[in-house]
Amino acid sequence: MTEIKISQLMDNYTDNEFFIDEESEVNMDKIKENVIENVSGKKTKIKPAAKIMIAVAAAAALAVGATAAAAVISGQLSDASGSIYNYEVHEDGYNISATAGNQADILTLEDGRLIFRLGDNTTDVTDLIDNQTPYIYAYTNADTGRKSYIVLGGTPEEYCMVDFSYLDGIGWSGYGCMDSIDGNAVSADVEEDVVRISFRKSYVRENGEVHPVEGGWPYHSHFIVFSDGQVTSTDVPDNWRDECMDAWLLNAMLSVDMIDPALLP
Amino acid sequence: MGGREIVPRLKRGDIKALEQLMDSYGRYVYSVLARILRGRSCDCEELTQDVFVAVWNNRSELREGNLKAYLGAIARNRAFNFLRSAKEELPLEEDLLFSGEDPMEAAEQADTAALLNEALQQLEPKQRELFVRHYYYGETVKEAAEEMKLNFSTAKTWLSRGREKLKETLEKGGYSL
Repeated sequence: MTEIKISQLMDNYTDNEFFIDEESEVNMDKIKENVIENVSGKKTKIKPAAKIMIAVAAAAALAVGATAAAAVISGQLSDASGSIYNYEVHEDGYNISATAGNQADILTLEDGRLIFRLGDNTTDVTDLIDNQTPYIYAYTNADTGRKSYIVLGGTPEEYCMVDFSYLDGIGWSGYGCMDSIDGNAVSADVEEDVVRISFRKSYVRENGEVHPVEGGWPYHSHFIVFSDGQVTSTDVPDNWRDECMDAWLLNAMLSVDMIDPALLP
Repeated sequence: MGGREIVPRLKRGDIKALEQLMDSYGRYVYSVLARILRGRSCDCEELTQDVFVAVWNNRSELREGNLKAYLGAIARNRAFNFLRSAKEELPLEEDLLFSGEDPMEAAEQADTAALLNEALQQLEPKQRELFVRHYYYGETVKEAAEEMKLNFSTAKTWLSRGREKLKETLEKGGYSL
């Protein structure tokens, strides 16, 4: 017969009945930021729940692994939403912080329709996009003066936008927001498809198939490409591989134009 | 969110999975801590962080199971440890509150969980609430009675009935209290 104490027993209990939600008192975003910072050793900025911001710190000039010296690339840029980003890419990771705007305002769900709104432009893109078909909007980045692109994709159930800008001497960067009608994060498929549409096509056309990092996560491995075909997965620092953002970072290490010209407006 | 989906991702070191875990259960963990440590000078947000950092640091040991119960168990242990460190008298006898064993191990005992729920469901709602207040949230009998506007001796009687019901159900399931 098994001995059991009430204390052990109550550890099996899940209170769905008398649970008191302390929502008004707790700052979950702050808690999340501190936890992520603690476990990753990097500063981060958690956006409100149910919206996942992606940030691609571009680093075409930073050769993967083989030249992994103490090189640090840092700077600041803004995007079409008015957000301001401070980025820092170095050999053992990256920091991206500070955001003031809200990418979610650029693509919103209104009465079941997806509305793209930027400046004077208001476009109902519901019938113009899906998980394979992007809507691409070109504009000039205020910081770099370069032409930049906003890529929209998905469906009213799951949709996302990514804002791509070129950083002088570094490469492309992308910031985006993904959302779903039920307030949950969008599925990996949508996330992947929209990014693939904008990034991957031109790379594959010019460089052949991508090389996912061995042992990488299936979820992200689709995004991982190398700037140099000679670079192997073993050249990628382990701690990069351990983080979900590594895929975005590596993905950005391209010297080629990442947006398929055939898709551009 | 189920452990079957999230635990493998946590084990792989997926920080996004940790974020999702916090999105799903962060407020619950905070609430458990705040309720146990009510009225005391403590930082429940910091303790909430500690819970999730502990989950992350021990992710290799995670097993698929009831994550909410697991997180609640860690939160309870943190809260009771906080009380101990503050040299506060625990509201219950210590051996009934904290076994010091791996909470995941206890939380994974699905059959035990089922028996517990079965026993609790056999109690009247008010009796169940009193039991949960006392044995899960660590309220003293006096505190719980006052909150529920119960006579103290009635509360003691109800708790006794609860224990008997629990004992009866568990013994049928092969356990002994």
